[in-house]
Amino acid sequence: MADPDRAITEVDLCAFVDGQLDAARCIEVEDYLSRNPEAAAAVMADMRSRDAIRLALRDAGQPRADLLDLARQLDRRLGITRLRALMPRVSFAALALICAWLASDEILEAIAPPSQAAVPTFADEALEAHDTARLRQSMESEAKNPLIDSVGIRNATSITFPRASPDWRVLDARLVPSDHGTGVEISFDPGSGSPLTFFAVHTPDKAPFNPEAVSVGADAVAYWRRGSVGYALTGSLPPAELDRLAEDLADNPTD
Amino acid sequence: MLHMVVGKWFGNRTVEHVPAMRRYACTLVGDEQADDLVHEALTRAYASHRSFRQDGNLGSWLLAIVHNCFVSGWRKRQVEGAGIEHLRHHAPAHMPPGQEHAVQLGELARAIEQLPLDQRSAFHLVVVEDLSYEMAASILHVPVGTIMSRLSRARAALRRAIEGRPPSLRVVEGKNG
Repeated sequence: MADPDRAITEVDLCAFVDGQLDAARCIEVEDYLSRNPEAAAAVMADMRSRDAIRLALRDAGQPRADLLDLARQLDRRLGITRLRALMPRVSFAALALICAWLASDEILEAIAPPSQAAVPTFADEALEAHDTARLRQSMESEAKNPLIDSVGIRNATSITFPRASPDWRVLDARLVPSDHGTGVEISFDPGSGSPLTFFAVHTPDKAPFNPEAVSVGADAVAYWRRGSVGYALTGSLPPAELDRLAEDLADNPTD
Repeated sequence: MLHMVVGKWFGNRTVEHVPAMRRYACTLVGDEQADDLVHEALTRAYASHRSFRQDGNLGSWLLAIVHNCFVSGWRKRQVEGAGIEHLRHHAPAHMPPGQEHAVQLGELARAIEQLPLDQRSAFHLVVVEDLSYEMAASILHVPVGTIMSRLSRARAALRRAIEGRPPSLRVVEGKNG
């Protein structure tokens, strides 16, 4: 149904013939035409004129050769412009990709956190334990236990740890409280005169499988992890030296 | 696939629009000088190829250049109402056989020829080239409303011209239909 508020004008009839109206307005115009024979005749005349002119002007013969040549030249020109417009973007993207690929190691290293920041909290605890252990060793009054009851420790804490080298003399072994529960602390004398403190505890902290050593003041701490247990070896040694000792210890079988 | 890509970048696209450029040039300056106007337009298009937007409509860009060439130089040098003889020239070849249709088309051609240039160009772009009102408006550098009113006036004039033809033509139409 036509909307009586939207009068059909001459412009609407034109737009109807030219196919410029949306479907809803087309229906309104068609409804109007069905009730207005004169307007319908005018629209038909417009359509007939349109079709006659289109038919007459179709296939106006082959264009002059010089026009076709010019048109081809223009097409080549536009094609080159289009390619040039695309080129900088392509080459920049390609260049960036190649650079990123070549420098991937450096980039990964740069975005990875520095190793100092990655030192797990149990390694800090190991350092503290080492300080305390040195203090205990210097005090005659402190009771010391130079025997390691691996089975007893495992039953009490489910902590297993590698067997130390026979060269390492046990100075003290005991259970200690830690942030993550009960830990094991063992003091060794590896024969060099500089005591080492071994520390093991159940921990959720991340740590590498193979020991890594960092220096902290005059001391160094090496830390690693097997299963749910974190291990640390602390001593007043250069980190490289401590790392070598920790690697040896970590490779030993557990009791 | 490669062929399609190459065709897209280097295809004969302007070549496809040359016929439309010639038709519009005929409407503006008549059959005799149409090719010369198209020649000038293509030369100017080559010189100003950077003004073509890569995502633009090539056909309407080329028609706009034909129009600009006509407005900026041609019209000054040429007689504006040179006529559109081409309609009558092509009519016998492309209409169904029969003297009556040729006469009808001749009348229509003369009526279009007598339209003011502004109405004639708007009529051509929308009716012959089937462009949208918006596209025709951008080619002619006028608002869409102006295109609509020009078309409306052109059609009214054409209807008046055709209604004034001899009654025998209507009888022939009835016999054919």
